[in-house]
Amino acid sequence: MNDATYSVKDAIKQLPTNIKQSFTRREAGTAEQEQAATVFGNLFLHLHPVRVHANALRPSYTMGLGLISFFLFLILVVSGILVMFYYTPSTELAYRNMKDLEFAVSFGIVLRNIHRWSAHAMVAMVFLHMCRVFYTGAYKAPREFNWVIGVCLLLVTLFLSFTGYLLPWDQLAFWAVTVGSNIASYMPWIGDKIRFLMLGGNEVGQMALLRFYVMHVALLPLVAVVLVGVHFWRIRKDGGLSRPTEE
Amino acid sequence: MQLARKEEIFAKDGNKTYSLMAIVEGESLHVERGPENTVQTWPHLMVRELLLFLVVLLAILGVSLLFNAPLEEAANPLHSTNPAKAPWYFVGIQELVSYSAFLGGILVPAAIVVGLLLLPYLDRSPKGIGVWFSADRKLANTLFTVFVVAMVVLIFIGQFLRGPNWIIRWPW
Amino acid sequence: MESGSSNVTALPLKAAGEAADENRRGFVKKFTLSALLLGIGGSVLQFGRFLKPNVLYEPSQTFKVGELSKFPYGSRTVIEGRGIEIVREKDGIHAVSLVCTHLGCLVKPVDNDSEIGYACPCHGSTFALKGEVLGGPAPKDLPWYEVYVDNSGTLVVDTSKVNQKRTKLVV
Ligand code: HEM
Ligand code: FES
Repeated sequence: MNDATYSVKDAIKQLPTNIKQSFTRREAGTAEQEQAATVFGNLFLHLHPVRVHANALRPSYTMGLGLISFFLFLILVVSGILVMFYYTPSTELAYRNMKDLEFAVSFGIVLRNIHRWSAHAMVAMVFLHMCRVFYTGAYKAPREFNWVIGVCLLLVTLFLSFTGYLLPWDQLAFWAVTVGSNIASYMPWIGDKIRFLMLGGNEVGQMALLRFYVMHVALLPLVAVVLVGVHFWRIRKDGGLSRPTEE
Repeated sequence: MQLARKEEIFAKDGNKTYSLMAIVEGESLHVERGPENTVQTWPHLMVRELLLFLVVLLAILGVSLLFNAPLEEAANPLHSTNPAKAPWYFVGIQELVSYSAFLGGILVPAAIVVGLLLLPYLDRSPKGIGVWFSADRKLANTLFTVFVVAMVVLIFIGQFLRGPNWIIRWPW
Repeated sequence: MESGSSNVTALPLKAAGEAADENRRGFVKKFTLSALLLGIGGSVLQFGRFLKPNVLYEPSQTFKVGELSKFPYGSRTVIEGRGIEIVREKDGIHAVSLVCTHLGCLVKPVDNDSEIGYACPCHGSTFALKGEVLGGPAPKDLPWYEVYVDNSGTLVVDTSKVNQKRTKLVV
């Protein structure tokens, strides 16, 4: 073993390079190798394969609808966490918190708007994405199960939006959720029990607000993240995006 | 069940072990494009994705600066709003519920969810993958379009045509 | 591999002991699986009860609405915040729910109408003076709740008990 000499002086000189290299875990290679390493060397990017079929890039094929849904979800997570700093799930305070966001918090109204409009947009985009998948026959073998996961994602998206609807505790929220929870109670046999569990009581009150809050900020987003992860992983496992058979 | 016959290009010799030693550059028949018409994910796909993200972010930001999210009076359990509407994506269901609670509240939503979940297991024909509105799938496309149009029409009626006392009226 | 074996003459593949062995393994496997399922499923179901609150911080479902004298003959009095109306007629008193049986909006009593007693603003259900459905999407009549007079002469309504027979309280 030959003793290389390590000197502090050299270490300081190479500090930026070494930090960068330890961060990117990358060594020099050909251009293609480096491009490949960018993707597979990154936990988040490696959901993508290193090379993708040209068809996946055609905007007219996917219309980017799934991706737009995902981006909206990201925007919702960030804006939602920020809005949480000013929100209390209490029937006494919730509405006042909304007013504070509107009038007293810097950019509070903008963040609330972002959160609300992205939520509406996400429901619409997820639905359109489903239509795209249907009309391109992309749910057929071997992608059947990814469609099933997709349907679960559609339901989670709807529930996320619905639970969020109650949180401002205004007239719109209160009566929409009263009406919505009563629709659930029409289920045969278990309808009333489901409504009771959903609201944590007989009426839309403090317990209902708290339950909707927990579902909205913890449970459902967690489920959504896991399902989205599986959804993306399966796209890779199923051989990338669907495409016409080549002649 | 019949298994597809696997084509062995290089039959394995049971007495040897195999491993990938190196990838060498070679000349393929695909000039100026990767094997099987693929491209590098970075930069070709990633750059497009990032651009799309920017567009989405700007659109949402623009809308949020221009329009305020609705906030009505504080919740008051003593006074129903007139009319009381569910969020827009459930208004179609609510419209059905106002004809018949069981039909609209339970039967139709359950049928939609179960139908969607089973769809890929009912439609087994491999025809028409990867093509928009494939002519091989006229029936499927028609049925799905009927479903989508019905949803949109119901939501439109519920959201825009239903006024106070749930009476049909023109929105203008 | 498996598909090629069809034209091979079958050899006695397993000794009798082996088959019994396999049998036993299958049993142990099934037994373990069902035990696991029962255990985990059972505890999950039991813990599901955690989600059902035992104490409700809601206004009690049994409450006083006031002295009898506050409800003269021929009066219909809405009790604000309770979603009921006290109706007193010559032949007795009853408490009718004002929560629409369709989707839970509050119905409005209609005055000066010989037929329609209540109308729902939400989806237009109408109810007769005694609460029977007249029109609209409501599937059931407005329920009547149990009423009684306590020993201090105060009228008490219990909204947890529906007066199925629609009997009036005679005082
Ligand atoms: C939170 C909701 C969802 C997100 C974030 C999401 C995201 C994505 C993304 C990014 C893709 C890649 C292709 C593209 O952008 O179109 C994709 C593909 C796919 N999605 Fe979704 N999706 C969601 C909901 C759904 C729903 C509701 C369905 C159907 C019921 C579905 C079924 C599929 C299928 C089958 C593919 C593969 C398509 C192909 O191979 O061409 N997804 N999804
Ligand atoms: S809630 Fe009364 S008619 Fe729908």
